[in-house]
Amino acid sequence: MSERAYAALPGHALKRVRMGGLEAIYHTPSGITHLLAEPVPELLDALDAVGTDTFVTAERLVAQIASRFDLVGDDPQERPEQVLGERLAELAALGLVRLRAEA
Amino acid sequence: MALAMRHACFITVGPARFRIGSDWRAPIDELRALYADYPLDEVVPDFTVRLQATSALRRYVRPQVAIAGDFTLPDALPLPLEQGLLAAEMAMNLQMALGWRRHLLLHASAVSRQGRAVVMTGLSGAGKSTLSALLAERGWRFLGDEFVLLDPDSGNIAPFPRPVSLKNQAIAAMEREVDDETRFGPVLRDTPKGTIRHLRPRTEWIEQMARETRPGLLLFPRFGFPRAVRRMDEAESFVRLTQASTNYVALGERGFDALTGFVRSVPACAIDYATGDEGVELVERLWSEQGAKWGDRAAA
Repeated sequence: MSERAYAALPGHALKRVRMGGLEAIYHTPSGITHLLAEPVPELLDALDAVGTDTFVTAERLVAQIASRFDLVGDDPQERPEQVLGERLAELAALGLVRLRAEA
Repeated sequence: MALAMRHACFITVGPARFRIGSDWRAPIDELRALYADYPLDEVVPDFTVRLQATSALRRYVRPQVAIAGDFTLPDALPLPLEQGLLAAEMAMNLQMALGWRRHLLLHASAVSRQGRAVVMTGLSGAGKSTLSALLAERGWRFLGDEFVLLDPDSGNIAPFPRPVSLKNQAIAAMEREVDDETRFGPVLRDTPKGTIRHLRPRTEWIEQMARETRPGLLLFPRFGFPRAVRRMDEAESFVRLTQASTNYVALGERGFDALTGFVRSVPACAIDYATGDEGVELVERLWSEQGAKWGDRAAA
């Protein structure tokens, strides 16, 4: 089964402005504005920290950020990488992160 | 095809220059009277507005004016000739809302004092227009009742002090407030918005309309509710203002920069008030509280 991996967009593709607990994000290629709550800004930061050309799986990203965040879904049975994977898939659908299916 | 208009005039309001042409003389004469204090020189216009007969015959048989111009909406309905002035005003709004690119346009009113502006926005009929007109009669500089023009580069507000479009009960309220009958336009009855009467701003505010001002306070007023004040956070203000802007999407990244910069630079409150006097008092009080902070910062 192929595994999904994600990478941050190049720096100029997003403009991000913090507004209280939320973040306004302007997606330059589409001209669309998003208003997103945590943990999205933190996820984008984590992907940025990995490097814009480095694709990582949800599992690897969990390992990267587990020390800083409590990654618990609504259902305690859910695994953190599953929760994170869903958020990343949503961001990819919005075009806010890059997606690559790895063999 | 560019139609030659029988009657025409030029009007400059703030940074925007309009040419208004009409098949009839009456609306142009009324515009000239209402805009007597504004620059009426012949200039290269930003927008051309046409008030034209809906058909050649109609001009004689049953006069109706249709709004045309650089931008038109399919639901810009013809209005009876007696409402030609209203048609011209609506057409100018339409041109600005759809075509202006030099500023981020917010559907809002604004007044200022000591170089700082209070921007008031909200749904149509919430009372922002009347509140700005009241404040402008009580010592505040009038910057506009329809659009606030935010400069994306400087973050400043460019005044756009068109005559205030008073509706229904606001007409009597302002007739009590203003003792100069010559500042009022004709009473327009049975319009799609009810009864309308225009009020020309004080001459000094028109003379100063090229002078920009800094934003100081953002308010979301609601008239006709028990008095209440609620602090509004940046994210909610931002979302509401994207909805109140007519050209946010069209400006792209410049719009994003201008709006996020604006929202982060001013405190914002939703205010409810039952009477005009209460509204004025609330604005004055919030202004004083905020003014004290500016003073603290300046002193620090």
